[in-house]
Amino acid sequence: MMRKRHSIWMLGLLLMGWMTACEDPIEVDLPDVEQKIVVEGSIEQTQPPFVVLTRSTEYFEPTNLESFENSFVHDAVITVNNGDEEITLEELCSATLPDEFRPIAAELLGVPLSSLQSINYCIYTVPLLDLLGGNFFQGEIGKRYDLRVQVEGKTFTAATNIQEPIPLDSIWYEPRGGDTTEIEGVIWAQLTDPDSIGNAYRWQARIFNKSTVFVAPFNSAFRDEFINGTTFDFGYIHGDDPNTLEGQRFFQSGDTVIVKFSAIDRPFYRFLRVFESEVANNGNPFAAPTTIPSNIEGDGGLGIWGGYGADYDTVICR
Amino acid sequence: MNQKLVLNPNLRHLLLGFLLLIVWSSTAEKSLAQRFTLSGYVKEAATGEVLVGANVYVKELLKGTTTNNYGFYSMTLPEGNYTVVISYIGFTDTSRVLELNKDIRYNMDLKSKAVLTQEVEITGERADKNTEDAQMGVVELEMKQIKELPAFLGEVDLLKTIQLLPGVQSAGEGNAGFYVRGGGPDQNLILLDEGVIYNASHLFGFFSVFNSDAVKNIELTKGGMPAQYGGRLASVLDVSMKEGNNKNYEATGGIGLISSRLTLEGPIKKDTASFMISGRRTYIDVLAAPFIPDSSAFSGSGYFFYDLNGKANWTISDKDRLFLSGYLGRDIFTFSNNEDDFKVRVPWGNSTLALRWNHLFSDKLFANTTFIYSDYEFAFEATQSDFDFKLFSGIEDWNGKVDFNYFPSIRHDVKFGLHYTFHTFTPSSVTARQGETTFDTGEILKQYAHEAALYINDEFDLTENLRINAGVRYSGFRQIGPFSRFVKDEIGTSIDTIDYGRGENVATYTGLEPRLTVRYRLNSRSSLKAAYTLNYQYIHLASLSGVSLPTDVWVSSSDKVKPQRGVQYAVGYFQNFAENRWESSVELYYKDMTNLVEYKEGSLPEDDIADNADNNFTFGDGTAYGAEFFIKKRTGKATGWIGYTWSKTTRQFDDINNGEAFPARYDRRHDLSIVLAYQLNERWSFGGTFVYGTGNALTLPVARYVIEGRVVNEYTDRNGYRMIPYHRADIAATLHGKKGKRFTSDWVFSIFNIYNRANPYFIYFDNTGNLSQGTLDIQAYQVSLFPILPSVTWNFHLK
Repeated sequence: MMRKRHSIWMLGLLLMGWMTACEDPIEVDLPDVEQKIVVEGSIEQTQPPFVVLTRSTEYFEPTNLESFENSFVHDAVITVNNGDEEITLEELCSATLPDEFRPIAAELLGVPLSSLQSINYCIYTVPLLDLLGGNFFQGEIGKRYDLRVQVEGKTFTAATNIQEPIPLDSIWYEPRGGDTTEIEGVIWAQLTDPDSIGNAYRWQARIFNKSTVFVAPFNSAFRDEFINGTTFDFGYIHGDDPNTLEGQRFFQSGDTVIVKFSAIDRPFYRFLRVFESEVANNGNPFAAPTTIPSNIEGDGGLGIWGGYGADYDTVICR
Repeated sequence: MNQKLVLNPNLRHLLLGFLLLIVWSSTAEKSLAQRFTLSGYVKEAATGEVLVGANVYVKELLKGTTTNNYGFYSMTLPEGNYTVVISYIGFTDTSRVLELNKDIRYNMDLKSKAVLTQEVEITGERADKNTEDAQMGVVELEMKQIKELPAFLGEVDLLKTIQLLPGVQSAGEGNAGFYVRGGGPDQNLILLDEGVIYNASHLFGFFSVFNSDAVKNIELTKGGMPAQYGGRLASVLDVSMKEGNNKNYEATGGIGLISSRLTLEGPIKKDTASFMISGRRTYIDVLAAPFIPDSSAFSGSGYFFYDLNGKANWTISDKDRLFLSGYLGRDIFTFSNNEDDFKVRVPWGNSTLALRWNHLFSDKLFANTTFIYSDYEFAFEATQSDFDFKLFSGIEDWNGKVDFNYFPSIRHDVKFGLHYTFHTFTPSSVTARQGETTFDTGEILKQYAHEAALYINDEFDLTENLRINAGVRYSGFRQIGPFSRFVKDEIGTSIDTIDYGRGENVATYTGLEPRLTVRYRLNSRSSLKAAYTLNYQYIHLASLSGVSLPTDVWVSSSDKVKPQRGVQYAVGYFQNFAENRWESSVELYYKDMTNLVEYKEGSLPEDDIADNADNNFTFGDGTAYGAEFFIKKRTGKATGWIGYTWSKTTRQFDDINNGEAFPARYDRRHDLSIVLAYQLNERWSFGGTFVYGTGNALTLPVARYVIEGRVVNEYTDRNGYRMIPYHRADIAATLHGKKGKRFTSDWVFSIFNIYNRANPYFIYFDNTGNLSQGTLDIQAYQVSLFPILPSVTWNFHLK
């Protein structure tokens, strides 16, 4: 769990060739491929299931607000089944949402309010009236959830589990380099891993006073292969928020931070690990191109259906 | 867990039949007349260095032989008077009339040719090696010739030179290793004074580990590998270090743009014992230091490499000779980010130590016994605050072998011997400490293995026109404990561990490897050759990256990993022109490889940690075929060659690319090299090279999608995209110092990439803007490493 990943070979190369290497913009002629359906869904205990359905785009296709909105896939029939009960999700789009619901929606969707106002975000979840009434289909610890998506004549299926949450022993804030005059810092945590191998975790954090979004830093997911049954400390920075350009990478003194620490199942862990390394390796020529291991089955489906056994804790940075 | 290769039982009879053939054909000759043996060493007069591959030719019989790797030759001939001519490129031919009426030991010292005395003198002896030898796909290069060619930043590099030969490819600058006839970089056996070098590159292949001043001789076998070599599928690169002048002290050195070299050699005891010691170090770090101020966040970052070669030899008696040689090389890369209190140190490199004993049991039986230690290691050490992390990998060998060279008659050159290696593999292991917590996966992940082989090989004339080089190698490999096998379920969670005790058998493999090359002489200037070779490779290099890096790990064949198997068929037509001043050849090959190793799709570097690396492997097959065209001018003021290769190589893995065959990374349809050297006069010589190659295959994204607001890629078929072709021309001019003085010096001026071609090193995509704000823009960039680069090197020689 190194907190930082330096593209060491890149640096070595620069050292060798910094006086000489040159780079030129080029045209790359890529083969045409069909657009694929991307499923991005999650379920957490006491929360409703959320599914975002989008389409992959050609690599060089320019993105503007219109094309971004057009990437949402509408009119899908999506069901979630927990073995006892099955629910059909409803599509909810921000453009049709009454203004007063938008802040709640922003929090639920994990996108900034401003984006919700400018773009028509669409999501599939339990019926809005159920949600508002507080009586809705929600995740339960220890259950398996089967997802079924039918759209444009294709069917995709996936399954995930909500693991028993494993709370952190404690969390605390430390300024960078232990320097108390430093305004930026890292959140540390202590975890006692249960004495059975196969646990996997994910760390996300939200700066409560500044953002509606839980952000996952690089390497947010880890497994217990090396630390099985031990108690140990680890730290994370805030990481980049992909929704904004001006986000902060570190926590800052004065921030109130909510840490969401979730137990996840192995396929979800595997997906996150490769997904995050793929994001980090973008542009690194030494990394092998890697297909992200999706748990979505059928018709070349991409994406993930993941369950969170989440535990929340709050710390004030000082 | 025992697994054995299924062998065709017929192959087992091959060994026996082969032995009988040798006995038959040598006894057949015995009946003719009284026979005597002429044997000895061929040496360079000025230094006492033995000459490898020198021709020893008997004029009256129109027959001859060449000296072996230790400069020894032996011929058993009927009684009579013979004119024996000894020749070697760059040396004056020497002939002597001998009356052979008893066994004669005849050592010959050859004198180096003065540059201008190269008036065309055709002795006609054995300049026809190209068409005469049964061997095919073998190339010998002399250091002298290599030094005349343009070198990148003035660093003479024999690996770069062999990549100019047909069938041998580079993957472009910035890629370590070389690729022979569609084989991977791990399928080349690289020997430095018989010690195995596991990674022959410094700094991602920009430079090789071979210091040109310390090297005497290079031989590359790319097809028709004789039975004395094994353990790799594609090729053998056999590099011999200089022995050291046993007559006078000498110093050789050079100062170049990026490194300096110094070699000292001389007698320990005149004519009996000598030494050679050579060192090279780069100073990019020293040169770059002033440009990185101490206040910079990155001060303390740097890179350098060094090589040390040493050798001593002692002629104990007429029959015994001892050699001790060693090599140590390291690359050291350091990086500091002082702001984050983050430090990294990455050292890697090879070391070898070899003790050899040459013994003549008789004038006909030469033996070499060798003990070798060789080691390659890589480490990545990082520290930040109270967090320490060290990742290391490597391979260590203890190796013993006995090789015999038996010359029953002039028609036979028999080699047989026994090789044994004890391997210790350390696949990616980690020690880490964070606060109070430490963990260590070093010991449990090591793999230990025995590798052994028994071989016999004979090159002999079956008829006047038909020469055969036939051999067989019986090899075996056993992985032993201590070893822990982590058993995983299908999603990668450890569910069980199988522990093997010390010395316990984990997996055993054996294989019979027949080798055959046949030469049929059509006339005095042309011949046809054909070759069949079967090789097993018991050790594997697995790479997670798109390019070869020092991080690639060597792993053992195991209960999960079967040995790689390669079969090669080759045919060739060889023709010499203009009284052997020109050589040409056309060779066709087809290669079939099985049990090749790759990481599974979606593997991450961390997967190896605390796990058996081979749990993350998947296995597949490969094929390669091609045609190689070669024309070479051997002698005269202007020399050089043109080599062109058309080839194709593919891989097929059930778990990669949906099981469909895909081009290997180094698949190259066209590969052209032109090499020219011109000796203008005693002072000036010139060299030039031109290379052209089909662009490298790579996997590029074809589509993108969004997860958690981040853009990720979907890819083309594996290696489905081609970069633009690679081509480049380099030139060099050498101003030689005046000869004959005690101190001479040369200036070498060279220009790399004279027409400033921007060859692609890699392509990357730059994302700017933000998806949710609708401003995402993607642009492809091609990174090219080296534009036109002039360099100057000063070399000196003091004797």
